[in-house]
Amino acid sequence: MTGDAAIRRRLRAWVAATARVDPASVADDTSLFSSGLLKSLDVPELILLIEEISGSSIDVEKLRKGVFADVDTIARTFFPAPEAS
Amino acid sequence: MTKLAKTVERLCRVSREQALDPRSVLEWPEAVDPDAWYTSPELISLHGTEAYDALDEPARKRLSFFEAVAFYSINIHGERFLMEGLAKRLYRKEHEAISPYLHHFLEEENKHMTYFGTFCLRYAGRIYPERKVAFPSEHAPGEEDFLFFAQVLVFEEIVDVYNRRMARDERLHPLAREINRLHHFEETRHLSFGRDLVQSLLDDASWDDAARARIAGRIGAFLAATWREYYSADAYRDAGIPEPFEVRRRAMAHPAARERRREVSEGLVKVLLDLGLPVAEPELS
Repeated sequence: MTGDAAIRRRLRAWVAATARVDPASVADDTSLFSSGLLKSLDVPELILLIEEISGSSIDVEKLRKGVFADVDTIARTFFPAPEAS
Repeated sequence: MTKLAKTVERLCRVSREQALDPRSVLEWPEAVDPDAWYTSPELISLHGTEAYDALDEPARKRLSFFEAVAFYSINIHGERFLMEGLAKRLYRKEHEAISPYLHHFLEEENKHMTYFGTFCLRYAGRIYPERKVAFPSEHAPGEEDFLFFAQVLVFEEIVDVYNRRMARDERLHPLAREINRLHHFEETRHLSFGRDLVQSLLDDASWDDAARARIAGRIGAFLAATWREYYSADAYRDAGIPEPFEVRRRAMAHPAARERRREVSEGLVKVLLDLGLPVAEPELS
């Protein structure tokens, strides 16, 4: 999967399906964990999804606090836009 | 003397009398035989699915090897979580009575990790990564301790079903069979301790119905999360199965896999029910 919009759409769809809420209620800046939408037990599945989309593995020991705060933070952390040449 | 105190005394004695050094029991060949089973075919997470049916026998055996690596990796991460929690609770005032057994528990879990780790590193070159991240959360008095030991019980009950079955499975490579046998041999004591301790903590708790329902819900969620770990995209990829993430998603939702989860969890669900913790059968879709 390529393209920032497509990645964010897939992340939002996963969040909505996991939390069993209306997909329209999940925005890029919706708090995922502090709002109770997702639980810490959902994190392994979220990591697997990010690994699947990015094609790279994630070392949980190196994750900084708050990287899963919302879709926007996830997208910026794990799928940074390529630098303009 | 309480039931738990009697259990602690008995288990400490048995641990002393039956102490094993896995380093002197297990023999490690230079390389593993690719034409052998390392996981019982019926316990392979894809068994009964279209992805499994599409594999020929050598490919199924290859998958059985990487499923063993995944199973041992789950055990390594689970036991590390367990050891951290046990060490933190040693000699706390409320756990003084069980501390003598916590020493044995820790010692035995440490030994288990050595053979799981040796197998993974020697024959697969790696341990599959942990993907759990713990967030701090609010607890009622006594809830954190209770959840810790209840989660350990859930984890070990499931593992033990696999260990018992594979220890008896003569199709398996002798090393895989022996690892499962050794683990089951000591886990039997841990399970006995865990059941009595969880019951004792529950008896001492003064939670209202809402708190009990929330706690049962958390244990159910932990059970579902534990089962998800048994579907390893790492193992599928290493076994050469295309689209490992998609295969994983389909496998988790497959009726054959649901039935295996239900059947393997049956004993655990009954243990939890007897404790007064009704937990729904794990739904992972």
